[in-house]
Amino acid sequence: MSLFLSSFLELLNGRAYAPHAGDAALSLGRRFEGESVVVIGGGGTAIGWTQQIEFDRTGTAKFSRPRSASFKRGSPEWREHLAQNALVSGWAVLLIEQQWQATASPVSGASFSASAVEQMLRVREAIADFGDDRLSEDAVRVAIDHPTMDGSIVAGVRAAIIDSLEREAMEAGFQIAGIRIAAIAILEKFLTQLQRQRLSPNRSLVVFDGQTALLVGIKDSAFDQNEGGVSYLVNRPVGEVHTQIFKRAAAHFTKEKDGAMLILGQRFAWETLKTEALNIDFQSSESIEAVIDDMVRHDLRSDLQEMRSALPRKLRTFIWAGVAITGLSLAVSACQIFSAISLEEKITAHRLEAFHYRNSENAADQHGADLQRELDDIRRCSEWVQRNYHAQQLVQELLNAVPNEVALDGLHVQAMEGLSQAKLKFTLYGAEEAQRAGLREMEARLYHLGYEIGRRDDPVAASGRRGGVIYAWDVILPTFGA
Amino acid sequence: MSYYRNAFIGEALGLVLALALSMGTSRWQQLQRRTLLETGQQATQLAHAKMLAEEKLEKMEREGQELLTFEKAWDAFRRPAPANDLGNHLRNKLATLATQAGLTSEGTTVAAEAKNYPVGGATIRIQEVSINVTSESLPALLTWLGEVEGQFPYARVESLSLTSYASHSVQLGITLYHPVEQGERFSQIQQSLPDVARK
Repeated sequence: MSLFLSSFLELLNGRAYAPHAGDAALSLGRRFEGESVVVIGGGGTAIGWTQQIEFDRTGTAKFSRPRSASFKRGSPEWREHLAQNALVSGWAVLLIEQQWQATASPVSGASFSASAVEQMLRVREAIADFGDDRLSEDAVRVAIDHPTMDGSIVAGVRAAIIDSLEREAMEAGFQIAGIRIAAIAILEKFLTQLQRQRLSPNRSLVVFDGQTALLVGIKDSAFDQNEGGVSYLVNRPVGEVHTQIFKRAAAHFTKEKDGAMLILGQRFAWETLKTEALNIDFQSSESIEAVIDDMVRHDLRSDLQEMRSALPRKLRTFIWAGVAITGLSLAVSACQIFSAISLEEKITAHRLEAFHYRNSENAADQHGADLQRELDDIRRCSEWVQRNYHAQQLVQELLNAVPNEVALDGLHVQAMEGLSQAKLKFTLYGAEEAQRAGLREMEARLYHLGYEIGRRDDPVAASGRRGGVIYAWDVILPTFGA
Repeated sequence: MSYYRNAFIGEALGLVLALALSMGTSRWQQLQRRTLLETGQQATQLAHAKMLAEEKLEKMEREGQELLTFEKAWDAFRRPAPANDLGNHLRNKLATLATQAGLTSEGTTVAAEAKNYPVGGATIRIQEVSINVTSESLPALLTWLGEVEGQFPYARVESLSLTSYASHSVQLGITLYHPVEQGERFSQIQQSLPDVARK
């Protein structure tokens, strides 16, 4: 998870688009753009000098003055010196000028892989191809390939020396950006130049880094694989190195070749050699410049591994666009969620409002239904009351209407069910004329009270008592206002 | 490049998830907007329905004002009694009034149960009570009849028979129909006026 986060963070902060400082596949200039590195020169039992190099944004190096540091390795002074340098820059390049070994191999490192790092790792492992009795068994090897043919110059440093150098530097606070051999760096730079120009070396080479020298015999443009074709001069006083160069060059190269030689690296007393009628060219190069050159890749670090490569800078635009779109989407989502929640509140308010209206409507409907029932009830009651009549008043008026000469008996009032009518039936006794007068008075009083006579049945003689006549009327009851 | 593979995948997944989330929340927001619109319309419709219901109620009250006034005027005359006791209540009251008036009552009958009676296209429940009272005084009989009508203004004399006998006594037989009020409203009135009902 932390690896994922750190790699994602590097995509954002731009580190992913810059080379990894420990990437052996790239030049130091690329790896330390805008930063600095300390080169520690020496090796073996003593360290000779340190020099700080600052790289600008384009990878161009700016060298500070080299500081002499002739300390014995492991001494307190040496540790103190390293610690002070580590404060200036956290990265160091260990430049070995002593205790290295070299030989020639008919095999090229490039035959294993196109990847520079993998190539170096395979060279270390393939001792059968890159081994020689002049190289220690535990030597960490690098192979500098011939520019156009098979074959390489193999150089090595004992692993114990590498380990102790790395440990001391790391204990002082450094991270190791690379471990290189100064003379090999000069040679690699030269051969890579030829390779780019598709050229082969046409004369024997002498590489001198100021302390040690490498003599590379060229035979028919290829590395001389014979005994003595490749030799080196290390762990000797500089003066003796000069002498040995002279002796070996004079003894070997002039026999094999026409005396043509190319001396690479630091100047030395080559005029002496010239007097020996050798055809010598000199290509001056400081070893410090070769070490940081873009064309130099060899590295002797024990934990050499392929680092992640720098991503194309234009990819950063896409990464940031993706992050921006993601962020924008999240922001939009947040706004939409906020909006949806706000809408939810309004929806709830509407629902409550609707609930309130529905309740009010139901209450009004219920009230209306209750009122309707009540009104229906009252209406029936009103109808009932309107259809009623005053029975006492009716009987009394009828009795009062009968004259004294006439007797009334058997008065019956029968209301008709559901109607505002009643059947009125009575019997009158007396003279016919008096009965008629009585009937007229009864009718008048009924009309006066609001009754109406709807139908008169034919009078019928009453049985029993003589002179009795039964009258039957259908009367319409008066309607009372509600 | 492989070093950053997981970071690329993570960013791509994040982007896809963020876009999916954005689309999802957008859809949610659209649904919420639609729901808001629907609930708003529903609230408006219900508000309108409520207004209509209230207007209908107001109209009903306005149009029923005459009936309500009638009810108010007649409310004072109510002598409600439990439906099942109304018949006995009437019979006892009629007999009591007859006794108080010095009349002889006989042949009092009470219908076993209330019956429907048609009134203006509707029906009401009525309780039927019959009684015969006899007296030698016709005015006493008529006074009793008036008293009965006064005591029970809702009662209707459905039939009346006035007959004289040779013994100079007069018999007045009446059949009374008295409406039996029923329903919630009446029950409420009954519950709120228990003392009045008993009186």
